[in-house]
Amino acid sequence: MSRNVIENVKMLPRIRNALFPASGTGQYYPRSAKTIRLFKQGCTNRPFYQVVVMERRKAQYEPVIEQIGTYDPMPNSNNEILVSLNYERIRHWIGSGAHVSRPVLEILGISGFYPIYPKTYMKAWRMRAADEKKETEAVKE
Amino acid sequence: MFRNYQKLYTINNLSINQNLAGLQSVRWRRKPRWLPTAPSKVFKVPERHVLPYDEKIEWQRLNNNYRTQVNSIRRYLIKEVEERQKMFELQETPADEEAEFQRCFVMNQEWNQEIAKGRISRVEGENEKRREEILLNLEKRKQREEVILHHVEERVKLEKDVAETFITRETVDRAIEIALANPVDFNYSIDTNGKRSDIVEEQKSPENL
Repeated sequence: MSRNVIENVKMLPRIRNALFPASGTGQYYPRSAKTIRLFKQGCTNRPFYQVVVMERRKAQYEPVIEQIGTYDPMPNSNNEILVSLNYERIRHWIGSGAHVSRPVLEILGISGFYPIYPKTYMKAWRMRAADEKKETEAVKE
Repeated sequence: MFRNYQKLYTINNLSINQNLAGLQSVRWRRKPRWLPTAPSKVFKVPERHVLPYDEKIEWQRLNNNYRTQVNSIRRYLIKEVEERQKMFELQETPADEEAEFQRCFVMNQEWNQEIAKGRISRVEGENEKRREEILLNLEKRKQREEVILHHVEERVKLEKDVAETFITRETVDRAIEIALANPVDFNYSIDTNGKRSDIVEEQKSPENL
């Protein structure tokens, strides 16, 4: 069992740290609800996310249990949005009953781990409709 | 009341002048929760977004499918983890652990013996080296002491030579006589080099007395 599991139940001092090893520094109860969610890094006007495992009741910037991926929402010079995911650990955590947050579900859907998230379809058809509308307007003019 | 607060939480354009001296940064632009609804919003009913019927049906269908598929994947993964956990538990019985420990222990003993052989020869070499070093140091020390002794003897010889002119119990009377016969007058001037500027009187030697 991990060294960070809290075995005797008592309140521990909260240590906040922005940067942590991928193995994580967060302490957690073995049977508490976990979640896979995005942890916002980066700075002003430059978002960057880490995909992390955390206790579900914890706030966004609490110490995490484990980092299992990254997500860079800003397209790079080749117009690519880069995502890295550790499937092995994701399998383990979902198999251990971890919840997954909506943005991460979208990423997992596009990456092919899960089926495509319905919201992704909705966004797509709305964007398509908007494009068609724009085109027809352009033709009319 | 709210207007007073509003000044604190909204950007006052008048305060942004040319040199930005009066620029006020606004961090919390939202209305604080404890304030009442703004007078201009009291009778505003927000428009409710309604999905078109076909879109709604499609949305429900997608969600139903999604939930079914995800649930099945989740169940599969949960099973996978459980099986792995079982395998892990099966692998490690106390007897296995003991056997593994014995295997490691024997291996460690072998390594220790191999390393001990190397260590013995190395320590012997080191001891030999140290012995030589100590002997060399002793030799050096002996030489150094001889040199010191030589210097000391020279100094003693010198002192013995000088000691002949010392005033002793026997020669004190004669010394007094010489001193009385040669009164020294310090009432003279000296130049910048510390030399006497007037002519130096010749001292009467004890032989002339």
